[in-house]
Amino acid sequence: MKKLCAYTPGDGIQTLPLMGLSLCIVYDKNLKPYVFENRCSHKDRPLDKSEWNKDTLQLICPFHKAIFSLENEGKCISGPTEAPLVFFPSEVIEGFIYIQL
Amino acid sequence: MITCTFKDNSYTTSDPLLNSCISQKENGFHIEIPSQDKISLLIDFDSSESDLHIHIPSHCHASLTLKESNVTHDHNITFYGKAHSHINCLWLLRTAPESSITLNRNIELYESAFFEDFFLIDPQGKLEVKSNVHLLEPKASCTSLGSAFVPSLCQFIFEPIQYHEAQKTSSYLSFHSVIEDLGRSQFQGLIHIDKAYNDCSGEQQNKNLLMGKRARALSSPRLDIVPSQVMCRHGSATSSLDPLKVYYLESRGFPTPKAKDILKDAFFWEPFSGLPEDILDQAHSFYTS
Repeated sequence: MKKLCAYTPGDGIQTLPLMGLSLCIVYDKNLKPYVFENRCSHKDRPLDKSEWNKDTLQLICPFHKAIFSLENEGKCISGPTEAPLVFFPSEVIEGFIYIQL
Repeated sequence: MITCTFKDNSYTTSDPLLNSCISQKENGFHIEIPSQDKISLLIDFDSSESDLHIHIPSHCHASLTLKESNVTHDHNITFYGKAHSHINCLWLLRTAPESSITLNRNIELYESAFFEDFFLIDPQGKLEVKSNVHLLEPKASCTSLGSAFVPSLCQFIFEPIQYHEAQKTSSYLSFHSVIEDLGRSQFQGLIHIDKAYNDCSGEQQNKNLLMGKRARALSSPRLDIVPSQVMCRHGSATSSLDPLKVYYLESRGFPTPKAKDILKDAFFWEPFSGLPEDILDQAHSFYTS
């Protein structure tokens, strides 16, 4: 597990760099974090302006409307691609988010 | 071989004669290679807050090794190859861990100058390299061969542009990238030939080897050609390891991780096959250090 950042739940999509990568963090209604790469698996566009639904746990890419289910580790359930997001299973330990690489 | 070491914004050389050839100006350090038939120079550039300019005089045959082992700042490196010069250059580059660096490299070549370029790049964070080759006068020629090893969580963006700005110029680039799982590589190449510059030839090749399911490579070699009497080619290929080749090595007694390492190393070192053995040793010891 790799320590990522402090656990600061919010409504929107948070972004942060991890070495050469850019990551996104979103929270569900129980404030559980979900971490994925800030890059759509369809055309490699950034996902930080996506539409995030914390009830259905679905993320809609603003460019080509691919819908990803974060409940299923970033699986694409609708749209122009079948490739999943690069998803990192995460845990909150003592106020910090840790991810599994 | 003469060595020249740049550290903490100052320099030392193994040959006192070279001291008079180095100057520090507003735009960085300038090395004026002395006018002689042949020279072999190792430049250890650890002063990455400054830019570096290397001037190779006419009719000189220079063998240069430029080593940058812990780059922490953005900077520019420029080579000036005067008429009829012949330059062999090995560029070894490693950035500092978790850094975000942009490097600009310019190569300016005059009449009948020939630049043979080998580069080995080891990014340890986010690295963007913009490499501009300017073929300014007729019969100037540049051949670039290189490899990058992109570790996990690192990103390497390579933007080589070959500008043909005179007739009868030629350029060639072949670049291999080995990308570990969760590594990111981006190749944005361009061959540009202006109008009225006929009889030019240009080629750009990029090959990527993905070492994990979450490794990613984006490759876009492009052409921007106005005249008609030119010969240009470009191409790219991206793949993971061939399971048949892994299986063959396993059948010869190699354990799977070793078999994969052999294939990865073969791919990585392929562009360097034309290097003399002593220079190849330098590259190898840099890579393994």
